[in-house]
Amino acid sequence: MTLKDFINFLTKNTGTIMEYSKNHFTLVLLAVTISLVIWVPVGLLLTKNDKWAARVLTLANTIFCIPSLSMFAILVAIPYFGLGRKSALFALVLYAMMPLIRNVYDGVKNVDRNVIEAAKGMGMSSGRIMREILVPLGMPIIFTGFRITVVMTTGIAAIATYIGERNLGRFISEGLVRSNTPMMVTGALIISVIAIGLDTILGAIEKRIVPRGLRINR
Amino acid sequence: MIELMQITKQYSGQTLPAVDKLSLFIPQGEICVLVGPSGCGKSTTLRMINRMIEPTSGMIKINGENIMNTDSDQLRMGIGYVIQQIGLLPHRTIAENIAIVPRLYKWPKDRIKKRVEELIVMMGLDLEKTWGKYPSQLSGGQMQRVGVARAMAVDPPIMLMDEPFGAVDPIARTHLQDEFLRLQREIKKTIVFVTHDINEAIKMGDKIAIFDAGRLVQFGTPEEILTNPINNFVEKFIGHDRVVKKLNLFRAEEVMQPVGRDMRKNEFKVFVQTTTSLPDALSLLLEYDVDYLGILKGEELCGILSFKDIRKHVYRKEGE
Amino acid sequence: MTWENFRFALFEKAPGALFEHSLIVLITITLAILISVPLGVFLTRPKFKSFGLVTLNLLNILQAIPGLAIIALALPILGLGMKPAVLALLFQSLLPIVKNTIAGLLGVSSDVKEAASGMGMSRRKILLEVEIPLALPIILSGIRTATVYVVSMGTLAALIGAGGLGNLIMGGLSLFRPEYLIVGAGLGAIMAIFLDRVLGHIEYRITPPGM
Repeated sequence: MTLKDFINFLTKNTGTIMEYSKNHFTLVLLAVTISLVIWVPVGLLLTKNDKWAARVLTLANTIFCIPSLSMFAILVAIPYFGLGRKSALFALVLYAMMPLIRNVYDGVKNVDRNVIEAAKGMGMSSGRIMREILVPLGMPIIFTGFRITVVMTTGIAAIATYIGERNLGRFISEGLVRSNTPMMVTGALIISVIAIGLDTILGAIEKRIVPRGLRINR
Repeated sequence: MIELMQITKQYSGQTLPAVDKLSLFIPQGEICVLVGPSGCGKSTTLRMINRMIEPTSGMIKINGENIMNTDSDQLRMGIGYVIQQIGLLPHRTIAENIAIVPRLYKWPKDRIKKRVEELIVMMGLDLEKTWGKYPSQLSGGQMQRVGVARAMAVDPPIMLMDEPFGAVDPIARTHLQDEFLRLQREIKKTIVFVTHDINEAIKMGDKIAIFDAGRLVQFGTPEEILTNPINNFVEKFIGHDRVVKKLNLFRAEEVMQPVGRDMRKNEFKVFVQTTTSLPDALSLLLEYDVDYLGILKGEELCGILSFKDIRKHVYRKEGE
Repeated sequence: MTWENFRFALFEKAPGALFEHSLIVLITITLAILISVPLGVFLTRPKFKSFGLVTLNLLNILQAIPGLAIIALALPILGLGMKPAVLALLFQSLLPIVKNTIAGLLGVSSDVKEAASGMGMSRRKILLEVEIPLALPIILSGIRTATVYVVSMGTLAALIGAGGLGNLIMGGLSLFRPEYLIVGAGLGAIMAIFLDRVLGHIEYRITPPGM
């Protein structure tokens, strides 16, 4: 395969690439949004109860261990889910549980206990302490969880092509079956560039998100 | 004033209570120091006054009002609280840190600004340089000052201070203590002060409460405690140099014999000021091997201090 | 779903697939450890610190590439079979181990190192007897992350002819045989969770009680 094959493939299949990219993005966007809405509050709640935190984190870790192909396959075998977006979405949200809950929990728990003690002692309500202290100070770690989730979801979403998603993973699965190397490599490169791009952009934001008082030193 | 009535704190899973049927009366405008070895219940007691810890039984009243009748956040907003680790919010500037409680009271912005400026100056910090800085840019001593300023922001009548000067080096600590005592003479807060250092307790306290294993062992003025330690524990806790420590409580002018105009300066070899502490005076007597010192008020001779005077003074107090 | 199909998948197909899968994981992780730990040690030596940052950034980028893409890119370059699969998996299993080796070694307090050298230990001795033992729990945690990852991505290696549990799953998906799916996917999940637990347990055991 040469660069010419690559460019040829890109120009001839612009429409398909756009369609697959759109499907890929909507799936990732939907999965990450749902994950944030569910797991961030759960992570925050768990900081109030260590016993439940240990249980839920073990569960999240166990789910996270399951190979993605296995996860999709198991969901497909369950009648309610079957082939399609429902299974894909469900699996992606389950995977996001680990990085999001873990990082929200760690981020909040890492906040200096003395700062919380002092704030409480001044009469700040627990809601206010959460909003004004725990979340802002935990934000760098929480954001890392978000970054991991986005990059991971982008990658795993590609595998959902095997359960019927028509996204960028499809170039790889089709390319493999048809022994169409340009198709396969193009798909792989597009996904890789997107994943690395997202990782780099979010990584840059991550560095800037650190509260000013924590960045400057004497 | 603060009244602790039969306060007990029993943690589940522990055989002995952390604080055991403690009663204590802390009058308005005084510094009451709670002192004792670690784990004696002094911090627990302090933290029960602003409901950071809730007592298992007993009652705490502030100005006659049971603190359990007040919402815990409201109660804490009205009590200054300083801890050893300070706990400044690292993501907020010094000005924002000091403004926390005024903001909770929803003070108007210009009032907050005025008060913050006032406090920064009162704490002996450079207003221009400190205002917009973050805690990580300050030294330990400066952070402690900000911690105290923050606790005094809404001018609360009561302050709780848990080893407030414990994290700084000895020189800075002495400095902070002196400044705080000077400040207290003006502001006359009711202060509960926790420390494990008996010297700090003697220096800072109008009253000292000595704790051991969750119980109050002795309560009194520094002088009373140094003169009449109630039992072996207190005696050991004060140390064998209690007589020397007691000397610290007095200045030369309190012990000297006044002299009339007939005595002249040239009859003395060594002079000290009226405000000199007795240990310093004693040290000079020994160092220059003289029988007496001349005591000066400014430039004027006003008294004579001999070794016998010091001994007599200590003896008199011991006898009471 | 029939019992017959299920039985066939579990007793006829699964043992071979499980063996292949274990082999892929074992080889990949062994190679990954042999490369990553020395690399991590090398990169924390004072002379090579600037080089270390570049390497770490590079590995970070590699880590962001989705597993499926790595497999797809490996095929035209490396060809079909278990060897290319192992190489592809190896790429991404390096980062967690290198990263943790570096973090573990840098985490050893300089006081401890200074005390050791003050007692007359050579640099080599300090590394072997002080730094590595103290960093071991963190290094092992990196190995654990990498292992789970290799088990997971190993199922995709079936796409380039490496065999393993992925074969059963892919077969199940294309033939619509839920029995194959459940057996292949289930064993993959169990294997990953089992290894995670075992390594987690070892990690816990070798952590000195004081930490």
